[in-house]
Amino acid sequence: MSSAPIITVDRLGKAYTLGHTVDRHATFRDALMNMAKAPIERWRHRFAPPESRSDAFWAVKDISFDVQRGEVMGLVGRNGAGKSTLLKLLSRITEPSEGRARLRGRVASLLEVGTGFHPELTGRENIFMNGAILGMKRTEIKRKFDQIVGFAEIDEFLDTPVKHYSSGMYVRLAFAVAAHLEPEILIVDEVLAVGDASFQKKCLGKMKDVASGEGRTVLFVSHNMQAVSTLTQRCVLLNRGRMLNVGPTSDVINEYLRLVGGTSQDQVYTAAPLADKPKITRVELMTSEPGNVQMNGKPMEVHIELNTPLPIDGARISFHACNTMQEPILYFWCHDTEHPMARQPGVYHLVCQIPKVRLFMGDYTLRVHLKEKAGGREFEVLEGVCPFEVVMYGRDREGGWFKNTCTYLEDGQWQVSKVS
Amino acid sequence: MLNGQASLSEPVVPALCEVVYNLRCDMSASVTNVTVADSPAPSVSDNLPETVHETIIEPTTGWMGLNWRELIASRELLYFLIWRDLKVRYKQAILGVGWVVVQPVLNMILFTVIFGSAAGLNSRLKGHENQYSVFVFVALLPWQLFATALNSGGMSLVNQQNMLKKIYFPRLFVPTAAVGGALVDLSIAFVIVLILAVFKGLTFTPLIFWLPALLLLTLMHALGAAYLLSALTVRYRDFRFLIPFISQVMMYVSFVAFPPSLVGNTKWKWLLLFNPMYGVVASWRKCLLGFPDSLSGFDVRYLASAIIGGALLLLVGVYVFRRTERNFVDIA
Repeated sequence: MSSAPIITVDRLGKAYTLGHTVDRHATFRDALMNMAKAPIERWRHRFAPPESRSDAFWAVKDISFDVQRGEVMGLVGRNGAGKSTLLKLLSRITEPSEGRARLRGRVASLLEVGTGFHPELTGRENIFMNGAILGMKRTEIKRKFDQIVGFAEIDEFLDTPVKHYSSGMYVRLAFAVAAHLEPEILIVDEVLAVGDASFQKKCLGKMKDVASGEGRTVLFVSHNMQAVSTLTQRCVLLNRGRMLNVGPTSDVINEYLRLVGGTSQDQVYTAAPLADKPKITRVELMTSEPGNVQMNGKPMEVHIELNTPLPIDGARISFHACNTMQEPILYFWCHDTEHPMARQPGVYHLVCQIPKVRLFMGDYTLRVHLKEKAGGREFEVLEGVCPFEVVMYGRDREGGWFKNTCTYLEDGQWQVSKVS
Repeated sequence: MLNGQASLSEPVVPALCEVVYNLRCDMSASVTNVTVADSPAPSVSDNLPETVHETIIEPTTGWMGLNWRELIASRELLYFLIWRDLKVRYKQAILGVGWVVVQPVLNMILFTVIFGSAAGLNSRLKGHENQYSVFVFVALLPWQLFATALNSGGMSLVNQQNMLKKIYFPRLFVPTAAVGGALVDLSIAFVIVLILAVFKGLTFTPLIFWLPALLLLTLMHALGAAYLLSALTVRYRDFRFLIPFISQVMMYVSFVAFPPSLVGNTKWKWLLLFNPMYGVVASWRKCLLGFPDSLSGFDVRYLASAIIGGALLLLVGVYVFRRTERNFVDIA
């Protein structure tokens, strides 16, 4: 095993040409002149390499990083950051305009499952076709054929054209072939994740079986920080085609969240005060990570600002943390009886410290209530404010985390003893 | 085709996490756990990198030669592509593979009725009267190959662009497979020609041994045209409409139905030197039928034109193809 990096990317860049820039013709004569010159000009324009043209657009530029053998490297960035372009370059689907990349080992890229499947061909035929396209030898496919079929659970439909398959069967078969690939470098896009839950678990087991100790190198693209953090040790962060950072996943994710967070305005709730009625003028979250992302198990603060032009009798402020189904999961309250407030007109600032957020990973919002004493008026209910995401990537668990496993994660201590 | 994005549903991502997570776990495991179940002779060597593949990705400039090593290494894929084309072509047809036989026979009958009987060419084949059906069938062999190369080969890249945008493999195989499929048709039609020839009382001459060389020459034309047109079609979709027209014109100027010498009009025949395909068609007639040159329309100069023209077409075809291949995905 050599110590040289298995993937070396050196100042890789790719330019595209945007649509032809429209020249404004000053006069009719200019237009005519241009038309006469056009054939040659247009020809020249057409065949000029995109990078040399004035309207060149660099989808990615100056990308440099190394990937070590056996490493799982993540590629993160917002939409349009250039992730797909970079994947295409490294999969050799398109050629770079500049720079260089060196891949030492058999490469398989899975930007889609079932590439080359033909609806008219039977399952059996498609296994061979797809395998060949993915770079498997016929003997290799033959050897694994039974495993693939058994894996996809399509035995009885093996000789049926795949156009008659249900979409689930189709995807299972496509994935089965991909799962039996044994490259040294695997380039995976998110779209690989398909199928129903039980089938997925099977895929995972399979991948585990075939991955040998030689160290399969994986280059993995995702929008999902949860996935990225679970899988990768290092990440490349792209933004507008440039590389912002390459380094340990946690650092890169923080930077990514800051990048994403910087653009969203609705993370903080604000409202103008009213002259005749108490009003919540600000709700803000202090999450453990930037961009309203909260790590499970870490502290969080909720800041609420109350503006009242008149005294409130027994003011009560409370809030729920609700999941995406708007089901309340957590409840916090602050009553005048315990923390005197709003007995005179003015602005009040409330801070709720949550020492350990135990919410399970997922998306949540707050529902904030402002009321009088029990049985009194309800001044205000704010629904769906301060959306935040709970992530688990700080917490390691064998097998990773699955969404919707539960809603709440309590600490617990186990004791195991052998009784017989 | 499977739409990847549509399948990106919510519960999916954590599962993917687990895939890669498990991969990561295994990287620290020992090498020895590679076992191939149910396989009598587990070839462990498949799991070990026999040679270190190295791929360099960088912009290419100027004339790029063919990557022969890569083409040879993945030749199986070419067979699979040809095989798929053949499989798919006759699916859901009552006659099925029968069309391979029926198509050329129908063509031959059509030509025989129009040119042989109605236009009276049968009687002009001095000494070979009533053999016009074989005569035209022989010319149709190379012509059909070439025509398929123009039509299917020309559209092949555009038709397969979805696949080409998702995965890399030697793209040259796509138009090559189209020609490969036509080659299979040709071999079947060839058998029919032989049967028909025997039935019509033709005797073969030793010239028939030149056939393999002639087949190569025909392939050179077909491949060259397929590479050139498939690449051009990617860039200029005009060719989608131009190709049927080109193919029609080529058929007339290649004199598939009869050589100009047969109808006695020889004033413009020097122009034929500029159509290498004519040389190919005439050579097939000469080679398979053994007719005198006045009937087959053969001339060594036409053959020379066919060889030079074919070589040029192939060179230009590969060149244009390779130039287009670089940015194929971006312009398709």
